[in-house]
Amino acid sequence: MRAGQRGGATLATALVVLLAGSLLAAALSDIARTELLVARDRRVAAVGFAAADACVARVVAALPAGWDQADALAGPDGTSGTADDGVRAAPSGCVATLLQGPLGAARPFLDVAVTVPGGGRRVRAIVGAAAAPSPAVVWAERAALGIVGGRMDVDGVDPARPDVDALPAFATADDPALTDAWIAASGGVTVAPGTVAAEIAPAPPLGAALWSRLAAAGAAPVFVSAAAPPLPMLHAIDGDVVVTAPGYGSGLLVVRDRLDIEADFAFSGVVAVSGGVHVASGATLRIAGALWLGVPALDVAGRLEVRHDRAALDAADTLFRLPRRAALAGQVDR
Amino acid sequence: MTRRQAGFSLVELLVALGLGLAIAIAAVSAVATALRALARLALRAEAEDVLALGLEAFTLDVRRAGFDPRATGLPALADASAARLALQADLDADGVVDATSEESTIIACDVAGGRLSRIVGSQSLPLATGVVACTLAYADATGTAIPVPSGGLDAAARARVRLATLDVALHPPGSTVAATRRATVALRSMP
Repeated sequence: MRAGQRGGATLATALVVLLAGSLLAAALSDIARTELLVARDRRVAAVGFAAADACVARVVAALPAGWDQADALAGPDGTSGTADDGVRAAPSGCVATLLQGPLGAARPFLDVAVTVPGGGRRVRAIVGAAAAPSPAVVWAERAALGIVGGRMDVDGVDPARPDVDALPAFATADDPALTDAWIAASGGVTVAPGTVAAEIAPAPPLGAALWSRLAAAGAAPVFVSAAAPPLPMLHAIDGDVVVTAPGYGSGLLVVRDRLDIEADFAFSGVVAVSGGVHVASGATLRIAGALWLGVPALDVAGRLEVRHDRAALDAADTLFRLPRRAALAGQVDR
Repeated sequence: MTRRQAGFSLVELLVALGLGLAIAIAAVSAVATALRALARLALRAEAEDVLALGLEAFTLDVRRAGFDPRATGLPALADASAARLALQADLDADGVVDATSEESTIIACDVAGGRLSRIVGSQSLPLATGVVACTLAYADATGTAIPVPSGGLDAAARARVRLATLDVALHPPGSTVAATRRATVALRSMP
């Protein structure tokens, strides 16, 4: 009987200790569980932020370059007032829709909703225009830029403007690796030190929107090279331009067909050519500013030099508001 | 005789009592120590959560600062010093910042008062108490630190700010170690 009493006391003590231990373990488990939930929520929030930011960046980068986003606001079918208005292609797990902002198509909103494991995030961004008048020294539609049998030098650094970022040498709508491969294969192309060789950008807008704006701005329909560097002017040539004597030009020169250079020619500003640039053997084309190209692009038997000159770009931009690629101008989490 | 042999002697009883007492004291002491550790752990976890929530509020405010749909040239930072950051955003796209709404927020460090606050209009909302250190720092687009004079950044320096950093340390009661957190946030609306 006493032995039994001793056993009972031991059992009671063991039960008390066990109970206290269990309570402690339960409390610890509860704290750990709470912290795990909090940590999980934080992780979901962080992943959501990153996914939303990445989606916004991807969608904005893919928006067409131009003067506004009216076409993108109309959606894939190109007609306003339909169900697909503003719908944009977006990475997996992200839905992106372009909406009219208070300033219309020039500064629309981009609503992005991302879904990540365990949650999601919604962001409203403002789509503005890039500050730089050209995304690269040579802005082309395709990475297959043509033939350079002679020599081509591209320099994205403007030594007169150390406050301005260097421009990439080439920007095309294709994978920059393809542009790199073209540079390597062409043999005659040199990219100056300090210049990024290739970046991706929407194609330069050399179509109807450009021509209607040029007509509205009163662009001159003929171009004759000057004997001395002239004041910036606006030229829009609906055909070929052939330069047969040494000379100069300045401002904005838009050529719908082919630009043929058969003598030394220097231009300050932007040269935009839809039908290809041909530089004959023995001739040199020097551009201080930027060169915009459609397809076909280049056929260089002589020498082509293009270097970043922000003052020349700004002068052309003052003459005629140049199209720009879209850029993120603001963002708010919703 | 048999019954006396089955009982306890006084010595046995005293030894048993002593041992029992020692075991009970050790058990109570162990449980008490564990409970104290548990309480400290809970306080520490709470402090970490408070800091995380405070920095989340800071993050959201900084990310949206300068949101300006009407392109009015709205400065993202209305005031920036080592202890105070006033942010503004045109959230309703009406071209005006309403100083009494979420469009105008202030993150304020008050180490003397042990408080980190978020001020909206005339309302000061405590994000954390028990704060023992709290500093705001700023950097430009290249990540280069912008020195903060005692009077705060001037307008030109504020316009260069692209990154804001908040460092906070909080001392949970009973803890010997402060909980610390840092958040560096890019101003997404100031490209």
